[in-house]
Amino acid sequence: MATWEPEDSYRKSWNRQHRGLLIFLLDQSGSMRQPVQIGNRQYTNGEMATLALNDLIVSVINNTPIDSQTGRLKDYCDLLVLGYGNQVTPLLDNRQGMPISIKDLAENPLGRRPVLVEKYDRVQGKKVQVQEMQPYWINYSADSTKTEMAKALQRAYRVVQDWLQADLRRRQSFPPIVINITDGAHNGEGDPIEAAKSIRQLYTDDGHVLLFSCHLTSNSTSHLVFPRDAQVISRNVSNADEREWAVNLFEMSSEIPATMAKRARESFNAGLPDGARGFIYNANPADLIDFLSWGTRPSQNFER
Amino acid sequence: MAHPPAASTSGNTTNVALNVPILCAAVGVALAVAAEHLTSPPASSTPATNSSFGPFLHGASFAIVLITAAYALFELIRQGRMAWQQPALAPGICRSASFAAFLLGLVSVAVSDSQSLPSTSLGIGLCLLALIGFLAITFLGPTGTATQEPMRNPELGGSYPVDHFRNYPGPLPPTYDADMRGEAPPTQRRPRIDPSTLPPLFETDPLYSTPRPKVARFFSMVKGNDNPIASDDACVISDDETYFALCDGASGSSLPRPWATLLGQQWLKMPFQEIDAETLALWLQEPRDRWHRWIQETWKWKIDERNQLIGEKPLSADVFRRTLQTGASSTFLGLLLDRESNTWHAAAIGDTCLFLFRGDRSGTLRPQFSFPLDSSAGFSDRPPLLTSNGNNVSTLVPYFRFKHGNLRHGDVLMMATDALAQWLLSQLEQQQTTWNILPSLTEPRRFAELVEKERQNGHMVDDDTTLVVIPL
Repeated sequence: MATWEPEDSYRKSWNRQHRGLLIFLLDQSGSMRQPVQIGNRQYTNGEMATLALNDLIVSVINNTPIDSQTGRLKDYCDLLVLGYGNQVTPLLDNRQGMPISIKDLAENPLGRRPVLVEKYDRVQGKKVQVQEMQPYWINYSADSTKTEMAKALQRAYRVVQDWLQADLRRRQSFPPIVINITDGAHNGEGDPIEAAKSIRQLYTDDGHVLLFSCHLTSNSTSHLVFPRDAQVISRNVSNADEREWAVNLFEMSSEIPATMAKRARESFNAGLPDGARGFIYNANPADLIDFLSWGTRPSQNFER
Repeated sequence: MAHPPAASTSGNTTNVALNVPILCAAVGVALAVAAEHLTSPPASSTPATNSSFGPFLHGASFAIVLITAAYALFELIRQGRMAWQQPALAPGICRSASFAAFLLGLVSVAVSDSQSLPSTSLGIGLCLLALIGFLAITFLGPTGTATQEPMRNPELGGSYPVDHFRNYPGPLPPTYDADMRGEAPPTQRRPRIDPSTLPPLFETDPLYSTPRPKVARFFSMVKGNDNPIASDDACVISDDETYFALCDGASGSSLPRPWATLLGQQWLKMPFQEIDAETLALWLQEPRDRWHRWIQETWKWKIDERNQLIGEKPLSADVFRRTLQTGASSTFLGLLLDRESNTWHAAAIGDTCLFLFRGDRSGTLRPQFSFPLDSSAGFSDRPPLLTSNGNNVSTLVPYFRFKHGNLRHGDVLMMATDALAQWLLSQLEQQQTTWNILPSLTEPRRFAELVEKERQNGHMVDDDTTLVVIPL
């Protein structure tokens, strides 16, 4: 296992020569059907996760600069979405589970639907909610009896490995980022904690692969964002099963690199403790979207 | 038959595509006339050959008329849709179409049974109508350069030379014609030309030009050693080399290079030694207008044209909207030398830096200062930037920095974008000497070697890197 001085790693930005890879794992098991109350509307966990994932793809697209030569997005990164339940299924299905270039993905959504987005209104000087037609790529589904999280992580491991080997220049890229969106309960073969560990051991010259987790449960009374240690979780999660899974997901998640923590502070003015993990528990949609949209932004990625 | 005038009026692809029906019609006319001539009994002396040859030609010309009509109809629908999106193309398309209709009318007259008066007169009538339409559009309608009209806005002054609107330098690749003349156009878009054989877009655009100063020296390296056209740094230098501007476009913003150049050009027009919100708003007005116009007219138009050539979809509405909505951002560093009073003034916002080196008693160049940042720790991911879209410039005013000083013979001023400026400052902080080739640098190759080496050993950030050395 390679090691780096913290200040020497996670510094690369994405560009044509050093493209990035984003993998999203989406829990589609039956347990994701638990209801969540948001305002006066009721959703299921799975719907929330699917919405969030689509939002995330939109935010990655919106952050990818436009190429003045082609009028398309710059070819900066590849993206893959794996859904898992009874089995692991690539959800952007046109390439048999191969990562898809962001510029191709952007041009081929499944369709468009109205969503409410918060925007800063210059005239009113505050954030307002506006309805926008937003493209989407993932449809909601939660009908499996099992939750093969370990298999999904193993699949992601192979994808990362193949992707790194496909082009030597990728060795110098910002390391791939894997984001796991789940209600936490693994129910299938293998050990997700071990699988997560192997993924985090893959690396490029710029650092180890990053694995972040987003834990959604129907218990929306408490929520945690980027905790530093497992004790915080024990104190805040009352339900024993959920607590166990929250701790597991916390253990599976990478520490947030210093360069990204710095960016988070600059972007959101939110202080992150040293050693904070890329783990978010019971995120309300805003938290989730904040987490995702900056969590996928490597150091200096979209600046200058 | 002479080359149809409609086809030669512009190098537009529309007219190239319409050449096909026009040429077919011309062939049809020739065949029909020949058929008419061979089948007319008084002129013939050998009836035996006529009876078999004449009808054959008749049949062939009819077939060609039908094929031509079908193809012309297809093209008209396709190009009509294009004209819908790009109204400037409409006159050219109408003209080509009426000319084709005129030729088709001729053919139909020629092949029709000359004994039948109504059909002949109908043919002649339609034919004349099409000819009148063609002549009307040619002489009364918009001029032949109508398709280029939006780009030549008189308000833009001389900065858009006509030469710039040549579509493609040199002849089109041979694959072009052969492929375009294929039967019916493919229903599915497929690459007609390999995009890699085409020159980069905007190579000749003034907003993408790089300076060629005579006394000062200009060096630039793109991040990842990419093509120079991909650089987001822009440098503008006046002909007498007294005004200099170096702007580093934020590559996360939309189309920053033209914006950066426009800011530089504005400095040459309206340099300032201090600024308030009102003046800044006024100062930014022209670059902002011109950037938006450039996106809407030149950029979209060029991308659509290129994409049509290579068989891609036109610029997506999403991308177009997003480009205008997010806008471009750039740092700004302007420098003004007054050779009469031997003084200089500089204005800056962001992290593009100015350095002054002055010889000490022994003649060794020593750094005097760097402006606006003076330590390598001062660089961040988010420097203040001038934007093409903001509407509250007063928030930017506090970020402006100004400096002035005296010129001395032998001084060297250097302007550098952030990656190089940060590297240079950390060199000076650590008392290293690799930097000292810079003030006397003349060879672009040496600059490239230095940047590449420092990028590789991790001392310099892999970003667009531009240096302007101004010896005094």
